[in-house]
Amino acid sequence: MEERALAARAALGDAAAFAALVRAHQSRVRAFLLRLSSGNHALADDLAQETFLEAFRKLAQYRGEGSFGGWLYRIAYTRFLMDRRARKEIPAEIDLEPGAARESDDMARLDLERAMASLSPGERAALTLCYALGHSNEEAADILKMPLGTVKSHILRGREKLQNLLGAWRSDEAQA
Amino acid sequence: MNESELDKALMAPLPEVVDDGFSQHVLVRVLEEKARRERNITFGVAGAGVLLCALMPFTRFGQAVDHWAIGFGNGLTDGLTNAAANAMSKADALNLSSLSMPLLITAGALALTAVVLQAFPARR
Repeated sequence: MEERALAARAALGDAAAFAALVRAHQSRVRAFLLRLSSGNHALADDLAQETFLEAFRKLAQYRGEGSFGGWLYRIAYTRFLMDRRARKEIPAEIDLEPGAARESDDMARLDLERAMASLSPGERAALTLCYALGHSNEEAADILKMPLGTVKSHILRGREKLQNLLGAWRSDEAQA
Repeated sequence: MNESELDKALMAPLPEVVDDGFSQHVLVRVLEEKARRERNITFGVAGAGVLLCALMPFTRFGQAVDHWAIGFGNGLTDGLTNAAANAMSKADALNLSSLSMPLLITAGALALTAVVLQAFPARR
């Protein structure tokens, strides 16, 4: 069934329709929050739960403009920022030192996640939405409630930082 | 790291997160919240009904004051009686006792709504 129809049914109190939406989006929302929270699984899952609960409360406000996933990411990002403000800092679980060996794609991905942790939340969110989740810059601006120019500069600056960091790690490894 | 390598790494889809009971847990919390919301609405409606019932004696008191004012007015001199009669007609227009029936009906309707809400929880 189409997502908008499911969302409309869920807004009328259909728990099964809402469960279908949660099942369809839980992986991406949790992965998005995992990246925002620098690999803190417990925090990402707590925030994901709060995201879905808030989505359930606000379902009547979802007018079907834009994707349901985008709407969820917006709630998730707002939740993340609120939590960050309350905590003042995000405990990073990922060690920021570069990996010792890069024998598989997993290691390369881990290095990217480590480098991502050094970016600002806005840069992390903009890069994740536009690259890994395939949203356009305009959609990302709408989701993150940022001007389009800010999203573009977040992407440019974020890419630059990642390139420098990952490049430096590689040259360190080559020397070692 | 060159640009195309970075692009490739960034465009790799986010790792799949296994649904290890997460959806079920969210659903349980959603159902709990739904039940709590319905309970709050029921108690709110029932509370409003009780409050209106509690106001009934005050409307009766208003009626008693009204009757006393009429009697008092009758005992005054002609001039004063006319003035009092004027005031009485205004008081009649604002007769508090006339509020009793609508209040009673509203309270009854609210109580009935509370019972129906409790018996048949609405799908919200």
